[in-house]
Amino acid sequence: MIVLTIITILAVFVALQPIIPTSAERFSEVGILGPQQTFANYTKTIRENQTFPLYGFVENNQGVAEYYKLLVKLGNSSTVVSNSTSANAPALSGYSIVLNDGQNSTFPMNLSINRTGTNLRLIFELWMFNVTTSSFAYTGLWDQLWINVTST
Amino acid sequence: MLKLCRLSIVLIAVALLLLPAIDVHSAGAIPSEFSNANSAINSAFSATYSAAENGGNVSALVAQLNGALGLYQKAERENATNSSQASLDLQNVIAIADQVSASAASTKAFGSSAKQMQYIESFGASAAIIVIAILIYIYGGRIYHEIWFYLFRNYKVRAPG
Repeated sequence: MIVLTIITILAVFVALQPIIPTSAERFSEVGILGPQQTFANYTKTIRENQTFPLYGFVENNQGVAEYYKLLVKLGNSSTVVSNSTSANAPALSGYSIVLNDGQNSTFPMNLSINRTGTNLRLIFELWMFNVTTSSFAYTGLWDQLWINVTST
Repeated sequence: MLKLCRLSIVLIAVALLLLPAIDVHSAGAIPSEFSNANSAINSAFSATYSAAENGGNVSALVAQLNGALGLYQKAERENATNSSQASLDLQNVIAIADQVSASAASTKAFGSSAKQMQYIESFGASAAIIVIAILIYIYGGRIYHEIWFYLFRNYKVRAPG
């Protein structure tokens, strides 16, 4: 009787497995790669208006397709950015991509800065489209590169 | 000859006067074209998201949306130099986005029915397992003995000693 009950419970559990919702953690990832598509050799000093290559990396593990926008902003040492507040700084560029669940993408970004300065910050913020509000919302994921821009 | 020359000067002057007006039209795709293309992409993504949530396979739709986004970004880049091409690209963006929205509806319906079928299969299998377990509990002993007697029907029982 006990053996039969155990076997029945296990068999029912296996049969229901496909419809039991998974509690896997849902998250997104963002990364900025150097010119060789590695986490190295980042540009530290450029000339004003000089185009320099970087690569953006975005991965979707939200359990459903997502529409991302990677915003590149130009800030300085006093620019405030956190996982709850996006930077109040001018956007240099934006890159949009739609990713299926479990999919990632590495894409080129050719950037240039039209002002000089030391200890400038390139701030990369990941925004995600919210279908309820039909607008992009800050995911709280961000990255940065310190950079010096010299005159031409 | 003089009359022809005067006419040419007048025509050139008129052309020069009209040039700024022509320039306004070729300065770039109008903002509403970008806005319309952007709205079409947003709507297409919302439809794709809904289809994915309902269990639909949206891989092809995602690829199409990325194609539309690539065209949109191309239009942004070329707007200052080739506005007519930018307008054309934006029209293509809207066409692709509309196609995605239409396909998403059928993908969603297909995903919903597949999901429903999976529920029916799982609950059906569970019910069948439980019924079989009850039958085994009730009739298991009898069936076992029937089989045992059938298998050993030709055996002779020898008295000990």
